[in-house]
Amino acid sequence: MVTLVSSDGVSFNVDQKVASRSALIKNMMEDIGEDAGEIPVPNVSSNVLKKVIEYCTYHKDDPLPQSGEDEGTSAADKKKSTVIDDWDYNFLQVDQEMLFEIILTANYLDIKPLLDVGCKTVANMIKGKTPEEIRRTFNIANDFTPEEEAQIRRENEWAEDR
Amino acid sequence: MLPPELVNILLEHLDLYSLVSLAQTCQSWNSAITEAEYRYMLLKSCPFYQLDNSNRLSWRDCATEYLRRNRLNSPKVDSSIIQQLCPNTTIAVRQDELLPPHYYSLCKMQAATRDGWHDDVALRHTDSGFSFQGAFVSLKGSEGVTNEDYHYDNGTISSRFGIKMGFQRGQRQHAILAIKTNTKCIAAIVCYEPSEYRILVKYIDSHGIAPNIDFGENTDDWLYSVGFCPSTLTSFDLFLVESCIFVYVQQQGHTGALLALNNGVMERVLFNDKYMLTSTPEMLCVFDGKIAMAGKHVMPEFMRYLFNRTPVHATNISQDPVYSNYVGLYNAAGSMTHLIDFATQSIVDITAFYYTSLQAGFLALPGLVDGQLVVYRYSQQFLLTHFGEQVDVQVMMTKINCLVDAPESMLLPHVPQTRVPARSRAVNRHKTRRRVVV
Repeated sequence: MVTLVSSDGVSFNVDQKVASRSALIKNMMEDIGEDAGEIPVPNVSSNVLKKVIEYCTYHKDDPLPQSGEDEGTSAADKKKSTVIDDWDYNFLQVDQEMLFEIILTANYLDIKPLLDVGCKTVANMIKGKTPEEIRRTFNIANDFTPEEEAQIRRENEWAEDR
Repeated sequence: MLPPELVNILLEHLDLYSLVSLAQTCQSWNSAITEAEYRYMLLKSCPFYQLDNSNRLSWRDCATEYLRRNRLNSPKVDSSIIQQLCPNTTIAVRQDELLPPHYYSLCKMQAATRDGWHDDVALRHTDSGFSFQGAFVSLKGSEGVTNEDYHYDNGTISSRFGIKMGFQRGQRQHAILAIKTNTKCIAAIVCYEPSEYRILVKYIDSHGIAPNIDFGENTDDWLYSVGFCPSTLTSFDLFLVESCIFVYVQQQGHTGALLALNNGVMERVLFNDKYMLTSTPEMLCVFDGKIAMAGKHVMPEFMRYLFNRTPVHATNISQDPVYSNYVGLYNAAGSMTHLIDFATQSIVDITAFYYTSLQAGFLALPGLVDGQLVVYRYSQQFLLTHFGEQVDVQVMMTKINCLVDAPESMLLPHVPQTRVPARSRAVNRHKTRRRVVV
């Protein structure tokens, strides 16, 4: 068992197997040894950490990703890469702020599969949308100058339904 | 905003369309997406796209242009323009008559879809009837319903779908008939079985290293393939024009066939010797994502007009070797949509006719009887009486009505061209058997 402490001081007792889904914590535990005790996880608030631990618990028995594994170029690999597991899909049905926090945490704690699935989820929110729809989805302000806007409109003639 | 390293991971998961869309949302995304990303994503969609060969200055421009072309290529028929082109075309119509023995079909080409990887079309025209759910309903004489697509006779394959070709059975199994390379790609004509000839095209990678081509059973290794008959092949050439690859094939005495990979979309043009193409790249024209051609006798002006002015999506073009003044344009579903009459320089919009016939629960087959253009139409009652025992005419009519409700589905508009990497577009070899050109 190791204890992870979030930025707001909440402690989580987790199995070593679960904690080692994070390459960062895994390395840390290997460096410090068995008596790791408390591991502070600054930058990550308790509600996000709880969510990430939930992910790691569910996936604790998955094979660890090998470095370079994602370099696969065969058609099957590519196809697989666009598919999101049902559990992961439901797990990531959260508000956008939480989703981005999870992605940032996955990046910080070095949990590659979570990072990938998070990015895929965001990518799916973008796919097939027009620029205006993307702005609405992510609350992005259109800060183009009128000249740039006109340029984009010209570029965009293909996209308009006529 | 995400840190830059995460932005890269995110962009990896997008497709070309989304990438371009995202860049147009705001300044920061616009600058976050670099030329390298456009290049990567465009080459994923279209591996042979060459910045040098296009007159665009940036990969971003190329990407938007590519999307624009893909959109233009999606099927759309505007009959008002057709009417302007041929205001006085009349077609003789015969109702509920079996096809006469001397009926000469103009619906001969089998569904050779874009690059040949979706051919599950429920209903299609053929030369002397129609096919439906694997059964063939012959409207010629009393042949009735059969399930056979091909029969073999004295080294000749004849198909009920209008295909006839000669070969020596078993003699050319798995032979490479011809191979050509240039700086960008390798093309080879390979014969697998008597009924299966293919042109395989592979791209040479950016380091100039030739790909390892497996002509064997591993069909995943094909990039593009097409079935046709090169048994009388006399010359074979390969070249690039703009972002299109052309494979030019000349057969003994007769047909010059041009197979073109236009931005990843397989298109094909067939001509007989009367309208021969020259094989010099200078003589080929590419109009705005569509392929047109300028040969000796192709009436370039007329063709240019046709390709520029009509939003006709001609996936295939066939020219009848006997009535060579007729050229058929086919949609992605393999049905003839337009018939060009070179004698009068007019176009007959078969689609409009076809759809209206379908709407009334009819099937229609355009063809020639004694050189005269005639369209045969069949009512549901007629089909029930003649074929009701063998084919579920009711189901067929339901299918027809579905197509009428959503004719777009007939035209297969949503080809996921931009999303499927070209490499993975391997063709099921058994399916390819049916895809032979007259």
